[in-house]
Amino acid sequence: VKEGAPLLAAELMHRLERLQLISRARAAGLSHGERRSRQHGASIQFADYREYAFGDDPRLVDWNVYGRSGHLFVKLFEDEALLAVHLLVDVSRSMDWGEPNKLDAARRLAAALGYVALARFDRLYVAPLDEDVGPTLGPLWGRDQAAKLLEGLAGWRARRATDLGRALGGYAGSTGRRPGLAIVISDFLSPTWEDGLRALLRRRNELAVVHLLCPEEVRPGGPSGPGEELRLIDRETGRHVEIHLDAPALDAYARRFAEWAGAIERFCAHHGAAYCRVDSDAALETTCFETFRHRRVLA
Amino acid sequence: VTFLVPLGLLALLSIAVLVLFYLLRVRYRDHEVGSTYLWAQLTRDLAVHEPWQKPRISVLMLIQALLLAGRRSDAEARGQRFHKAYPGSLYGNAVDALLAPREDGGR
Repeated sequence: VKEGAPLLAAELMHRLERLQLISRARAAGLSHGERRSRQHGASIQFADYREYAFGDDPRLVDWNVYGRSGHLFVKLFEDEALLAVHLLVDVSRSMDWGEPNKLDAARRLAAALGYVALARFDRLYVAPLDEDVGPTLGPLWGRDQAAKLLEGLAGWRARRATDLGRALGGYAGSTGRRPGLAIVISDFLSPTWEDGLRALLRRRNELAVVHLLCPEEVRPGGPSGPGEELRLIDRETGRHVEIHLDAPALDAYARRFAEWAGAIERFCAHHGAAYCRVDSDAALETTCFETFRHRRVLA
Repeated sequence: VTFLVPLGLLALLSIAVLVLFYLLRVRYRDHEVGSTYLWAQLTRDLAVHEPWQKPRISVLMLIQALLLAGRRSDAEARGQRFHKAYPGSLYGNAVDALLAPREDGGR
């Protein structure tokens, strides 16, 4: 992210307000359109107002407010307003690499998903992950808190190695936060990724996984193309691997990569979690309005 | 120093061979990557198919070698010939094939 450049353009923010995060808990809450007549005023408590967006139920529009202000607002009820969204972003040193840089892409994705949650008055928690879980931002709700979210994301620095098992386990185990929709943005280049995701599921969180990689990780070609003798130095640990980067090695890498990415996707499918593979060179608009919608993260 | 001593001449030639090996050694170019997590798994797979490999120190292999040496010396002390056939190895499979009763009854 260039110094001073906004994570989200104003026009994109306006478009994002029409979206919402998909959650089974929210789907259950939204069904109170039918339940409301039967349980009038009992368990459905008014919580807040939100500006009307395309797709909202017209029955929820507050016409009194419209009469006074001329703007359409919908009423939010407690069970709908209190969806907790946990945005967990890998900020380890492996993420601060690649062209385009993965950490910059992760910040933009987190900003977009976080803004969608804020605009829908979800309770948003944002936490950076590396060897452990960093200081959590939130709860935030409402568009007024967007500046706080963007400022928090821009302030993150990649300093340490990844241990997703420990970091996600630490977040899941911390008390005081209700379970909700946990969105993990990471390259998942950590042997303990499965432990971490299982820890979130054990705490009855719904899960959405954004698997963020840079083009060179998907299709490596080496700095000068194939046929080179390379000493690959791990940015996180300093360990190195010596390899002759020829066609058989690239084929073997492609197979290993497919097995590893497939294992993460299968894990998500097995546990009813959304899985999105996103390349760091993908346009943010395309990711939000096509990939995330197609993969049932946003609607 | 005289070149008429064969060992001295051999030692001199070995220096030339060492220099040649040094000149022909593989030169690796350093390249930083985000993580070697996948590459490290890959090199293990690729190394299995390489005809020449660097010797790796393995504790299990050392223990096996020591045990083998100990049992061999015992067997030799008793005047017996001793063969170790690892199951699944080419040699082990060959021994299995030799010892297995033939289906045609040895005709």
